[in-house]
Amino acid sequence: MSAQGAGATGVPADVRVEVLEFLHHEAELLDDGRLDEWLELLTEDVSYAMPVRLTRERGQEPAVSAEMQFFQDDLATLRLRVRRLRTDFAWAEDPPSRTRHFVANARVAPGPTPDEVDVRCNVLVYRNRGASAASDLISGERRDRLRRVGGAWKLARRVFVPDQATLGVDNLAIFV
Amino acid sequence: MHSIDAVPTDRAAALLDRVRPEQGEVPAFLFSDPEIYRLEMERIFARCWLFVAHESEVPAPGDYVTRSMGEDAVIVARGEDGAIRVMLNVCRHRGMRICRADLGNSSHFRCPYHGFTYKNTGELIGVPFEKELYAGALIKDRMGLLQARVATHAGLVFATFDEGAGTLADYLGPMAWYLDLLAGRAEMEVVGPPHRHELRANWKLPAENFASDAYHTMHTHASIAEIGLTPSATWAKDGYHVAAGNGHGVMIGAPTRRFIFAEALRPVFRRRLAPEQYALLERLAHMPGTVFPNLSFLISAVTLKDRFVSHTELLQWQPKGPDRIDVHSWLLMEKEAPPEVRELSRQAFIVTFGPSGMLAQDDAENFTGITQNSRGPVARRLALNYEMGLGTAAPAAGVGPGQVLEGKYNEANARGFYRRWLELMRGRA
Amino acid sequence: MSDATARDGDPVIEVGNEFALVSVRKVRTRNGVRLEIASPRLGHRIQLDALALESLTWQPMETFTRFLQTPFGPLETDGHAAERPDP
Repeated sequence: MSAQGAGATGVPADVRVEVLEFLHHEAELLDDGRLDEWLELLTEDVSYAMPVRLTRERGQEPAVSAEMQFFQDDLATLRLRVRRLRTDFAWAEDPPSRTRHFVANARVAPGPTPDEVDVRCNVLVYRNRGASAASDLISGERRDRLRRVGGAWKLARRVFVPDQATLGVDNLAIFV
Repeated sequence: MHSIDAVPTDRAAALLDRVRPEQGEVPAFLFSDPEIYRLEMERIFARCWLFVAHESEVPAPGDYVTRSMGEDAVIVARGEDGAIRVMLNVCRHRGMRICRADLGNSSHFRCPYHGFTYKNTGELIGVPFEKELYAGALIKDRMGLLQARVATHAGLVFATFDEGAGTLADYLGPMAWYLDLLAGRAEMEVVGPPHRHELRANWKLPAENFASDAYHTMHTHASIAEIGLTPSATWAKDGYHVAAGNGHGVMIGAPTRRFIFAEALRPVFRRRLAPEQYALLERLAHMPGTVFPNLSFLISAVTLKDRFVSHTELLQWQPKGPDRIDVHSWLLMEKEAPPEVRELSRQAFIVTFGPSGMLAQDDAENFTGITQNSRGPVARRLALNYEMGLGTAAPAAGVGPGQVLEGKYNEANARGFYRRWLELMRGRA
Repeated sequence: MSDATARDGDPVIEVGNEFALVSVRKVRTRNGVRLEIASPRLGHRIQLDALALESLTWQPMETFTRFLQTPFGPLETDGHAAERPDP
């Protein structure tokens, strides 16, 4: 183990702590509906995707579509989505959902440049709306790339791989 | 001999008597009553021609996808002979599901339970230890997978298990002409697998919405105009409302300010379409519709990232109980579409009409809210209002076949949808 | 029994679907080469030379349908179970 505590992952312990803090802070912004602040966490060239998952035989797993996504966004379309949610006509989120993003099992690996890290983590999003006790659960793996921009970590790429082939949600009017 | 089919009880007959499309009355219980639902499965989904796949989903011999026809699971497979077959995904021995993946390629299928083996034509060809165990008495040729009748139009594969149904051409009627604009204007293919998600709503709500309801766009989708995807909240008002026969409905948004498709594809469209069809395509701003009972479609155009882009999609409302739908939505693309058009078109599909789509999100809110309300013992009795345009709409000429009405805001297609629904539910089809 | 050996660097190709999985590789004899097809699930393997393989190219799919009439292979030839060969 190195003096910085880089360990087997090749990523210094202080960077791992910063990454965890980033993920937890991001989850807080999403769950508190502070979406304008959330947009500030994204790089200008961010790509945000959620591929379609398929049921395939063993050997073809994990069957993740390279051709179709539930989200395929860049900063422009993410801003558009947030702007829409701010209008008086975004019925799907007015009244808003109550969400809780549980972010766990984060593994941090060196990225392609010294200013980047690749992070995989498990995410469970609990979502409840209205008076019903019935809830949505969205489970999946995030494959993120974070980049240090001006001293702060930002999200440069997210691929959220869902665990359901048929999503158990009426809509995806929230972010994962 | 008694039929094992559900027959309408006196109660069901009384329920059906309260469905009065001609008076613009559709009672709320239609959207959650379990007895109505059971009857729909047998009288509508086991009888109508149902969409099962696009040809491009099974392009090569052996390719297959698993799908549903109502609540029946089917395999859509292309045989070694190139023909597409649709078979019940049920082993004839004990009823086990044979194909359990979403898609694959195989010349033969082998049931996981006892190893009964079928050709991908459905013929039973192998039974383990057959000679020893069945003493030659097992009649394999009457144990093939149950075959549906299959027909295609413009690459759209339809199937029915009803031997008594007419041809697909008869079934589609005038709708076939509009499906050419949708899926036959060029050689089309689906892009990747369909989006799938569960919608806690009755299947008829989105089906009638796509067939008939341009009116909701102004309010439900007001956010879309506000963020600049469409020019105004009333963008979907001008055009035509077309009853396309047999409960099918299509709405033509027209005129458009500019051609909504890739310019490079004009010669392809002109070559493949009749002159009247091409003329309408040139004026087209958007086109939602529903092929009765549960295949909807949409050609939509929006301004995304300062670029004007259209996309074409299919949406299927697979019923999974009175208040649940397994939604499938496919992006359809011209094979010859230029790469940059493909990419933007794909993004437009995802950000507007997939489950994360900024229009689809709010539609889902309406469909689930109505379904929840329709369970209330008082609310379920309410006759909901479908009167718009009753006896007042003006016919328009020179557009296309079917009954063409001036203006998109109307509820005539919803009345047509429920008129056809009622005929089938009463068994007079 | 295998008289031929795989050479390092010859890739093993797996071909699978919902119903079966086989691995395919080139194997060398002292004087030539064969293609080995193995089914780890059922424990069978076959080594086919070029001439045998060529004959496959003109088989109709019906040939394979006939092969699959005994879905578990030689386990059920002559109506009784044979011992599984060592994979």
